[in-house]
Amino acid sequence: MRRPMDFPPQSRLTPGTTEAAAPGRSPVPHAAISVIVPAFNEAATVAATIRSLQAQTVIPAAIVVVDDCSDDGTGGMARALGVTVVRPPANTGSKAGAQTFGLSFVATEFVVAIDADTTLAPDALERLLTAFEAPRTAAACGFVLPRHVSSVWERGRYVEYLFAFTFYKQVQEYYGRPLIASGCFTMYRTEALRACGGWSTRTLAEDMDLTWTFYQQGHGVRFVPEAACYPIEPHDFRLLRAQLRRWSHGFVQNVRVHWRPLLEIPFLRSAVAVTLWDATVASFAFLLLLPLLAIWFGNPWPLLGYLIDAPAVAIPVLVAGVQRGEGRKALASLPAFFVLRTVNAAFFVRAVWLEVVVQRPLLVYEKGH
Amino acid sequence: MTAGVPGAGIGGLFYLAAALVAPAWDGWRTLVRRDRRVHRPWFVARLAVLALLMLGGIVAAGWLLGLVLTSPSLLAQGARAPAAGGASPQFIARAAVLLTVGTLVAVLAGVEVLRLALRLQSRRARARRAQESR
Repeated sequence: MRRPMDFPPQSRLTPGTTEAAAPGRSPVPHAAISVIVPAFNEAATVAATIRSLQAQTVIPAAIVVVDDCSDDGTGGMARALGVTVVRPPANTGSKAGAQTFGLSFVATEFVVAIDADTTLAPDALERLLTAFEAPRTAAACGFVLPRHVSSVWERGRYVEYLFAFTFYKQVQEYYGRPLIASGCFTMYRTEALRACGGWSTRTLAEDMDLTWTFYQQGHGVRFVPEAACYPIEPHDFRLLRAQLRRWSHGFVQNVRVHWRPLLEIPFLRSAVAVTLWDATVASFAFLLLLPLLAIWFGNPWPLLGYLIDAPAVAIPVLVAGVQRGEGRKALASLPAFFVLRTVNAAFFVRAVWLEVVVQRPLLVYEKGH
Repeated sequence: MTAGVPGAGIGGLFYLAAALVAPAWDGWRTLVRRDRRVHRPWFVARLAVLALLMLGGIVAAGWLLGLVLTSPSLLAQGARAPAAGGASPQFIARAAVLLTVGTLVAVLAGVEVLRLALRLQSRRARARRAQESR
C-alpha cells in the first residue's frame, strides 16, 4: 500500500489539517471530500459504513448521513458515531432524492455517494482521488463485490460482479467510457455534480442517468479497479426482485431519455446498443428459443446453450478469484451465476414489455439493497 | 449492474473484440498519432490475454460439444443431434458463430446508420428554418 502522504496530491487536501498521528503511525491527511450516506431504515448497517469511512487512509472532511425519515433509529445510530445527520422535512421517496438533499450540505471540491449498507477497503477513497488528477474527470467508481456470499443470489451476484468488473468494466475504462459509475460507491467533482442538478429522479437508475449526462456534457468518468467496495446484496428473492425491477426498468428508462445524445458518443453508443440487444432480443431467445428448439428437435441438446459460454465466463471470474485468494469460493459460486442470469433475462424482457410495449413505466422506487 | 445476460449474446463478443483490438489501437495511437496518453501497457496486455483465454475457452467448449454430439456411444443410444436435416455439429457451430458475428455487425452498423440519418435530418431541418427566416 502507498504511504498516506503520497496520494492524493497536496492540492486535494485541506491545508494544515493533518490529524495528530498515533504513536508509530504516519499522519493521516484530511481530504477535500465530503461523503453523503443516504439512509432509510438502515440502523442495522449504517454503523459499519460510517466506521469504514472513518478508517480510511485519507479522512473525509465531512460525513453527512441523510436520514430519510427513518423510524428505526438510523439517525441516532449515526449521530452516536460523531457524523453529521440531516433529515429532510418528509421522506424524499428515493435514494436520488435523499442524495440531492444531502448535496446542499457539501462544501468540498469532491463528494462521495455511498450506500448505507456498503463498506470500503481502507484505501478506497485515496485510490479514487487519483482519477481526479485529470481535470476532465467528473466521476470515478471502484470495484464492487458483495460483502456476504452465501445464498444462491449472493453467489450469482458475486460471480456476475467478478466477471463484469474484471472484464467488461475494464474494457469500458480502456475506451474511456465506463457504462455506469455505480451508485453504491462513486466519487464526484462537486461542481460538475451541482451543474447537473444533483441526482435526477426521472429514472429509477439515477447513477446511469448521471453517468450518461456527464458524458453528454463532455466530462470524463473513470473506473478505478483498485478502489474496492463491499455492499450487501439481496440474499433472498424478495429483495432481489425489487433490485432487478429497479435496474431493468431504470436501464430502459435511461435509454429512452438519452438515446439521441448517446448516438454522438463513440464506444458508449455501441456498448449501449449491444447491451440493449442482449437485454431484449438475446434475453427473449435465452428464455424461449432454447426450450422451443429442444421441443422442436425432440432432444435436450439445445439446452446446452444455457452453458455454452461457461468457459468464457469462468476464466475472468477464476482469474479474479485466485488473485483475491478466493478461487474456491469463485468456483463454487459459478453455478449460481447461471441461475441468476436466467432470472436477470426474465426481468429485462418484462421491463421492456412494460416500459415500451404496454407503456406502463415503473415509477415507484422500491428499496432492495 | 449488468443489463441483460452477461457473457451470452453479442455483448460478450463485442467486449472480446474490443479487448483484442486494444493493443493494436494503442500501438497505432503511439506510433502514428504520437499520442502519449496511452494506457499502462500491462493493463492493455492483461485485457488482451484475458480475451485470448476466453476465446480459447469458447473454442474448446465448441470442440468438446462437437465431440460429445458425434460420439459413437451417444449415437448408438439413439440420441439425435440437435440439427434438423442431419446437419453436423461442426456446421451448427459455424452457423452459430456466423449468426452471432453477423448480428453484432448488423447492430453496430444499425447504430451508425441511425446516427447519420439523424444528423442528416437535423441538418435539413436547420437549412429549412434558415430558408424560412430569410
